[in-house]
Amino acid sequence: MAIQVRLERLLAARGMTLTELSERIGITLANLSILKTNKARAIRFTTLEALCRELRCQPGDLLAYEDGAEARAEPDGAPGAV
Amino acid sequence: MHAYRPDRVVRLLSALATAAYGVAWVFAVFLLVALPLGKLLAGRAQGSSSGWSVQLGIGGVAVSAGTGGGFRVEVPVTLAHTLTRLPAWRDAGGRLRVTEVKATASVPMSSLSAGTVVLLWAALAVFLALVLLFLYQLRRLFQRVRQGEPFDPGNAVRLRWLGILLVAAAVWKGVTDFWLSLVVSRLLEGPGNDLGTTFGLDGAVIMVALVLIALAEIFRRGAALEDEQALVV
Repeated sequence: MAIQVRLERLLAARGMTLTELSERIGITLANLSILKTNKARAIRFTTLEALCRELRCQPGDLLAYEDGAEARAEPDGAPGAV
Repeated sequence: MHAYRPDRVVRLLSALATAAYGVAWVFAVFLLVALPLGKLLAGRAQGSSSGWSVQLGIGGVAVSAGTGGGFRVEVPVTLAHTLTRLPAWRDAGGRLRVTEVKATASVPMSSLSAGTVVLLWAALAVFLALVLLFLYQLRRLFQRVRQGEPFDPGNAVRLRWLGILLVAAAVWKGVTDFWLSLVVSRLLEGPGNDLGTTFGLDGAVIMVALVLIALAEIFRRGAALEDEQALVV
Protein backbone atom coordinates (compact mmCIF):
# COMPACT_ATOMS: atom_id res chain seq x y z
CA MET A 1 0.00 0.00 0.00
CA ALA A 2 1.45 3.34 -1.05
CA ILE A 3 -0.27 5.18 1.82
CA GLN A 4 1.81 4.72 4.95
CA VAL A 5 0.43 5.29 8.46
CA ARG A 6 3.05 6.73 10.78
CA LEU A 7 1.29 5.73 13.95
CA GLU A 8 4.20 4.13 15.74
CA ARG A 9 6.34 7.23 15.24
CA LEU A 10 3.67 9.53 16.64
CA LEU A 11 2.98 7.26 19.60
CA ALA A 12 6.68 7.29 20.48
CA ALA A 13 6.80 11.07 20.19
CA ARG A 14 3.81 11.47 22.50
CA GLY A 15 5.01 8.80 24.93
CA MET A 16 1.81 6.82 24.50
CA THR A 17 1.22 3.09 24.01
CA LEU A 18 -1.15 1.57 21.48
CA THR A 19 -3.32 0.27 24.33
CA GLU A 20 -3.69 3.74 25.83
CA LEU A 21 -4.59 5.21 22.48
CA SER A 22 -7.13 2.42 21.92
CA GLU A 23 -8.82 3.22 25.24
CA ARG A 24 -8.86 6.96 24.57
CA ILE A 25 -10.41 6.85 21.12
CA GLY A 26 -12.61 3.76 21.57
CA ILE A 27 -11.14 1.73 18.76
CA THR A 28 -10.11 -1.85 19.41
CA LEU A 29 -6.48 -2.77 19.73
CA ALA A 30 -6.90 -5.18 16.84
CA ASN A 31 -8.08 -2.41 14.50
CA LEU A 32 -5.29 -0.08 15.60
CA SER A 33 -2.79 -2.85 14.92
CA ILE A 34 -4.24 -3.21 11.42
CA LEU A 35 -3.69 0.51 10.96
CA LYS A 36 -0.20 0.48 12.43
CA THR A 37 0.98 -2.39 10.23
CA ASN A 38 -0.39 -0.69 7.09
CA LYS A 39 -2.88 -3.49 6.44
CA ALA A 40 -5.94 -1.23 6.54
CA ARG A 41 -7.75 -0.62 3.26
CA ALA A 42 -9.50 2.54 4.37
CA ILE A 43 -9.81 4.86 7.32
CA ARG A 44 -12.98 6.66 8.39
CA PHE A 45 -12.84 10.42 8.93
CA THR A 46 -14.17 9.91 12.45
CA THR A 47 -11.20 7.64 13.20
CA LEU A 48 -8.76 10.09 11.62
CA GLU A 49 -10.27 12.93 13.65
CA ALA A 50 -9.97 10.94 16.90
CA LEU A 51 -6.34 10.03 16.15
CA CYS A 52 -5.37 13.60 15.31
CA ARG A 53 -7.09 14.84 18.46
CA GLU A 54 -5.33 12.42 20.82
CA LEU A 55 -1.96 12.54 19.09
CA ARG A 56 -2.16 16.34 18.65
CA CYS A 57 -1.18 16.20 15.02
CA GLN A 58 -2.38 16.93 11.50
CA PRO A 59 -3.60 14.25 9.08
CA GLY A 60 -0.51 14.91 7.02
CA ASP A 61 1.67 13.98 10.01
CA LEU A 62 -0.13 10.67 10.30
CA LEU A 63 -0.43 9.71 6.63
CA ALA A 64 2.22 9.74 3.95
CA TYR A 65 2.25 8.70 0.33
CA GLU A 66 5.22 6.65 -0.81
CA ASP A 67 5.04 5.60 -4.42
CA GLY A 68 5.77 1.87 -4.82
CA ALA A 69 6.04 1.31 -1.07
CA GLU A 70 5.01 -2.13 0.30
CA ALA A 71 3.59 -2.62 3.80
CA ARG A 72 6.56 -2.43 6.09
CA ALA A 73 7.50 -1.26 9.63
CA GLU A 74 8.04 2.50 9.99
CA PRO A 75 11.64 3.74 10.16
CA ASP A 76 12.62 5.69 13.30
CA GLY A 77 12.50 9.47 12.87
CA ALA A 78 10.97 12.75 13.97
CA PRO A 79 7.21 13.04 13.75
CA GLY A 80 5.97 14.68 10.60
CA ALA A 81 9.15 13.92 8.65
CA VAL A 82 8.44 12.77 5.09
CA MET B 1 -19.68 -1.83 13.52
CA HIS B 2 -21.62 -4.06 15.90
CA ALA B 3 -20.93 -7.79 15.72
CA TYR B 4 -23.80 -9.88 14.32
CA ARG B 5 -25.75 -11.81 16.93
CA PRO B 6 -28.26 -14.44 15.74
CA ASP B 7 -31.69 -14.11 17.29
CA ARG B 8 -33.83 -16.80 18.88
CA VAL B 9 -35.51 -17.73 15.59
CA VAL B 10 -32.19 -18.42 13.90
CA ARG B 11 -31.03 -20.54 16.84
CA LEU B 12 -34.31 -22.50 16.73
CA LEU B 13 -34.04 -23.04 12.97
CA SER B 14 -30.46 -24.17 13.40
CA ALA B 15 -31.55 -26.74 15.99
CA LEU B 16 -34.38 -27.90 13.71
CA ALA B 17 -32.03 -28.30 10.77
CA THR B 18 -29.67 -30.40 12.88
CA ALA B 19 -32.55 -32.53 14.17
CA ALA B 20 -33.97 -32.98 10.65
CA TYR B 21 -30.55 -34.12 9.42
CA GLY B 22 -30.32 -36.73 12.18
CA VAL B 23 -33.86 -37.99 11.63
CA ALA B 24 -33.34 -38.17 7.86
CA TRP B 25 -30.32 -40.41 8.39
CA VAL B 26 -32.39 -42.77 10.55
CA PHE B 27 -35.16 -42.87 7.92
CA ALA B 28 -32.65 -43.39 5.12
CA VAL B 29 -30.84 -46.27 6.80
CA PHE B 30 -34.15 -47.90 7.76
CA LEU B 31 -35.63 -47.66 4.27
CA LEU B 32 -32.50 -48.82 2.46
CA VAL B 33 -32.22 -51.81 4.79
CA ALA B 34 -35.95 -52.53 5.08
CA LEU B 35 -36.64 -52.62 1.35
CA PRO B 36 -34.36 -55.55 0.44
CA LEU B 37 -34.97 -57.19 3.82
CA GLY B 38 -38.70 -56.95 3.26
CA LYS B 39 -38.32 -58.64 -0.12
CA LEU B 40 -36.22 -61.44 1.41
CA LEU B 41 -38.72 -62.04 4.20
CA ALA B 42 -41.80 -61.45 2.02
CA GLY B 43 -42.86 -65.07 1.88
CA ARG B 44 -42.77 -65.59 5.64
CA ALA B 45 -45.28 -63.07 6.94
CA GLN B 46 -48.57 -63.27 5.14
CA GLY B 47 -51.99 -62.81 6.57
CA SER B 48 -55.14 -60.76 6.56
CA SER B 49 -55.13 -57.04 6.22
CA SER B 50 -56.00 -56.59 9.90
CA GLY B 51 -53.46 -56.31 12.73
CA TRP B 52 -50.90 -53.70 13.66
CA SER B 53 -48.23 -52.38 11.30
CA VAL B 54 -45.32 -50.00 11.42
CA GLN B 55 -44.71 -47.72 8.49
CA LEU B 56 -41.77 -45.48 7.83
CA GLY B 57 -41.21 -43.45 4.75
CA ILE B 58 -39.72 -40.39 3.12
CA GLY B 59 -40.53 -38.59 -0.09
CA GLY B 60 -43.79 -40.47 -0.37
CA VAL B 61 -42.22 -43.93 -0.49
CA ALA B 62 -42.62 -46.04 2.62
CA VAL B 63 -41.99 -49.56 3.81
CA SER B 64 -44.40 -51.10 6.25
CA ALA B 65 -44.29 -54.25 8.28
CA GLY B 66 -46.79 -55.73 10.63
CA THR B 67 -48.74 -58.69 11.84
CA GLY B 68 -51.20 -58.39 8.97
CA GLY B 69 -50.19 -58.20 5.32
CA GLY B 70 -46.48 -58.87 5.90
CA PHE B 71 -43.99 -56.49 4.31
CA ARG B 72 -45.40 -53.94 1.94
CA VAL B 73 -44.07 -50.98 0.04
CA GLU B 74 -46.21 -47.88 -0.22
CA VAL B 75 -45.60 -45.74 -3.28
CA PRO B 76 -47.33 -42.57 -4.44
CA VAL B 77 -48.95 -42.79 -7.83
CA THR B 78 -50.67 -40.20 -9.98
CA LEU B 79 -53.09 -41.63 -12.48
CA ALA B 80 -55.08 -39.93 -15.20
CA HIS B 81 -58.63 -41.09 -15.05
CA THR B 82 -61.64 -40.68 -17.32
CA LEU B 83 -65.11 -40.88 -15.80
CA THR B 84 -67.57 -42.88 -17.86
CA ARG B 85 -70.57 -42.42 -15.62
CA LEU B 86 -71.45 -38.76 -15.20
CA PRO B 87 -73.76 -37.21 -12.65
CA ALA B 88 -77.31 -36.24 -13.56
CA TRP B 89 -76.66 -32.49 -13.54
CA ARG B 90 -74.52 -32.85 -16.63
CA ASP B 91 -77.72 -32.62 -18.68
CA ALA B 92 -78.33 -29.21 -17.13
CA GLY B 93 -74.98 -28.02 -18.41
CA GLY B 94 -72.79 -28.96 -15.46
CA ARG B 95 -69.31 -30.34 -15.95
CA LEU B 96 -67.01 -32.56 -13.99
CA ARG B 97 -63.53 -32.92 -15.30
CA VAL B 98 -61.15 -35.24 -13.50
CA THR B 99 -57.61 -34.72 -14.66
CA GLU B 100 -55.67 -36.86 -12.26
CA VAL B 101 -56.08 -39.05 -9.22
CA LYS B 102 -53.44 -39.16 -6.52
CA ALA B 103 -53.31 -42.40 -4.65
CA THR B 104 -51.03 -44.61 -2.62
CA ALA B 105 -50.48 -48.05 -3.99
CA SER B 106 -49.85 -50.54 -1.22
CA VAL B 107 -48.09 -53.44 -2.88
CA PRO B 108 -47.06 -56.62 -1.04
CA MET B 109 -43.35 -57.31 -1.43
CA SER B 110 -44.13 -60.81 -2.57
CA SER B 111 -45.88 -59.36 -5.63
CA LEU B 112 -42.87 -57.32 -6.69
CA SER B 113 -40.18 -58.86 -8.84
CA ALA B 114 -36.59 -58.71 -7.61
CA GLY B 115 -35.74 -56.42 -10.53
CA THR B 116 -38.45 -53.96 -9.55
CA VAL B 117 -37.26 -53.94 -5.93
CA VAL B 118 -33.67 -53.29 -7.09
CA LEU B 119 -34.81 -50.38 -9.29
CA LEU B 120 -36.99 -49.01 -6.50
CA TRP B 121 -34.07 -49.30 -4.07
CA ALA B 122 -31.74 -47.47 -6.47
CA ALA B 123 -34.29 -44.70 -7.08
CA LEU B 124 -34.86 -44.32 -3.35
CA ALA B 125 -31.11 -44.31 -2.63
CA VAL B 126 -30.52 -41.45 -5.09
CA PHE B 127 -33.43 -39.44 -3.68
CA LEU B 128 -32.29 -40.02 -0.09
CA ALA B 129 -28.73 -39.00 -0.99
CA LEU B 130 -30.05 -35.72 -2.41
CA VAL B 131 -32.19 -35.11 0.69
CA LEU B 132 -29.29 -35.86 3.06
CA LEU B 133 -26.91 -33.61 1.13
CA PHE B 134 -29.51 -30.84 1.19
CA LEU B 135 -30.03 -31.15 4.94
CA TYR B 136 -26.27 -31.33 5.55
CA GLN B 137 -25.68 -28.06 3.66
CA LEU B 138 -28.65 -26.43 5.41
CA ARG B 139 -27.31 -27.50 8.80
CA ARG B 140 -23.82 -26.10 8.01
CA LEU B 141 -25.37 -22.85 6.76
CA PHE B 142 -27.31 -22.34 9.98
CA GLN B 143 -24.25 -23.30 12.07
CA ARG B 144 -22.18 -20.54 10.48
CA VAL B 145 -25.00 -18.04 10.93
CA ARG B 146 -25.33 -19.06 14.58
CA GLN B 147 -21.57 -18.56 14.98
CA GLY B 148 -22.07 -14.95 13.91
CA GLU B 149 -20.72 -15.38 10.36
CA PRO B 150 -23.73 -15.05 8.02
CA PHE B 151 -21.57 -13.71 5.21
CA ASP B 152 -19.05 -16.51 5.37
CA PRO B 153 -17.95 -17.16 1.73
CA GLY B 154 -18.77 -20.82 2.32
CA ASN B 155 -22.42 -19.87 2.87
CA ALA B 156 -22.67 -18.48 -0.65
CA VAL B 157 -21.45 -21.82 -1.98
CA ARG B 158 -23.86 -23.68 0.32
CA LEU B 159 -26.83 -21.63 -0.85
CA ARG B 160 -26.01 -22.39 -4.45
CA TRP B 161 -25.75 -26.09 -3.64
CA LEU B 162 -29.09 -25.96 -1.82
CA GLY B 163 -30.72 -24.56 -4.94
CA ILE B 164 -29.08 -27.13 -7.21
CA LEU B 165 -29.94 -30.04 -4.88
CA LEU B 166 -33.54 -28.86 -4.63
CA VAL B 167 -33.90 -28.84 -8.42
CA ALA B 168 -32.20 -32.24 -8.68
CA ALA B 169 -34.46 -33.75 -5.99
CA ALA B 170 -37.60 -32.29 -7.60
CA VAL B 171 -36.65 -33.62 -11.05
CA TRP B 172 -35.67 -37.04 -9.67
CA LYS B 173 -38.89 -37.32 -7.67
CA GLY B 174 -40.88 -36.38 -10.77
CA VAL B 175 -39.09 -39.05 -12.81
CA THR B 176 -39.54 -41.80 -10.18
CA ASP B 177 -43.18 -40.86 -9.50
CA PHE B 178 -43.85 -41.06 -13.24
CA TRP B 179 -42.15 -44.47 -13.49
CA LEU B 180 -44.03 -45.85 -10.46
CA SER B 181 -47.32 -44.47 -11.73
CA LEU B 182 -46.66 -46.04 -15.13
CA VAL B 183 -45.95 -49.43 -13.51
CA VAL B 184 -49.06 -49.31 -11.35
CA SER B 185 -51.33 -48.02 -14.13
CA ARG B 186 -50.22 -50.90 -16.36
CA LEU B 187 -50.94 -53.36 -13.57
CA LEU B 188 -54.41 -51.91 -13.14
CA GLU B 189 -55.29 -51.77 -16.84
CA GLY B 190 -58.30 -53.75 -17.79
CA PRO B 191 -62.06 -53.60 -18.48
CA GLY B 192 -63.56 -50.64 -16.67
CA ASN B 193 -60.15 -49.17 -15.86
CA ASP B 194 -59.05 -46.51 -18.29
CA LEU B 195 -55.84 -45.26 -16.77
CA GLY B 196 -52.83 -43.28 -17.91
CA THR B 197 -50.28 -41.10 -16.25
CA THR B 198 -48.48 -37.81 -16.82
CA PHE B 199 -45.06 -36.46 -15.96
CA GLY B 200 -45.10 -33.38 -13.78
CA LEU B 201 -42.68 -31.18 -11.84
CA ASP B 202 -43.45 -29.13 -8.77
CA GLY B 203 -43.13 -25.60 -10.14
CA ALA B 204 -43.11 -24.01 -6.69
CA VAL B 205 -40.05 -26.05 -5.67
CA ILE B 206 -38.22 -25.05 -8.85
CA MET B 207 -39.01 -21.37 -8.16
CA VAL B 208 -37.69 -21.65 -4.60
CA ALA B 209 -34.52 -23.29 -5.95
CA LEU B 210 -33.99 -20.38 -8.35
CA VAL B 211 -34.46 -17.93 -5.48
CA LEU B 212 -31.80 -19.80 -3.47
CA ILE B 213 -29.34 -19.65 -6.37
CA ALA B 214 -29.97 -15.91 -6.74
CA LEU B 215 -29.50 -15.48 -2.99
CA ALA B 216 -26.17 -17.27 -3.29
CA GLU B 217 -24.90 -14.51 -5.57
CA ILE B 218 -26.12 -11.86 -3.14
CA PHE B 219 -24.33 -13.61 -0.28
CA ARG B 220 -21.15 -13.87 -2.35
CA ARG B 221 -21.21 -10.10 -2.81
CA GLY B 222 -22.01 -9.67 0.87
CA ALA B 223 -19.00 -11.81 1.83
CA ALA B 224 -16.73 -9.69 -0.38
CA LEU B 225 -18.12 -6.47 1.14
CA GLU B 226 -17.69 -7.79 4.69
CA ASP B 227 -14.14 -8.83 3.91
CA GLU B 228 -13.38 -5.35 2.62
CA GLN B 229 -15.16 -3.70 5.55
CA ALA B 230 -13.15 -5.74 8.04
CA LEU B 231 -10.05 -3.78 6.99
CA VAL B 232 -11.72 -0.37 7.29
CA VAL B 233 -10.68 1.28 10.57
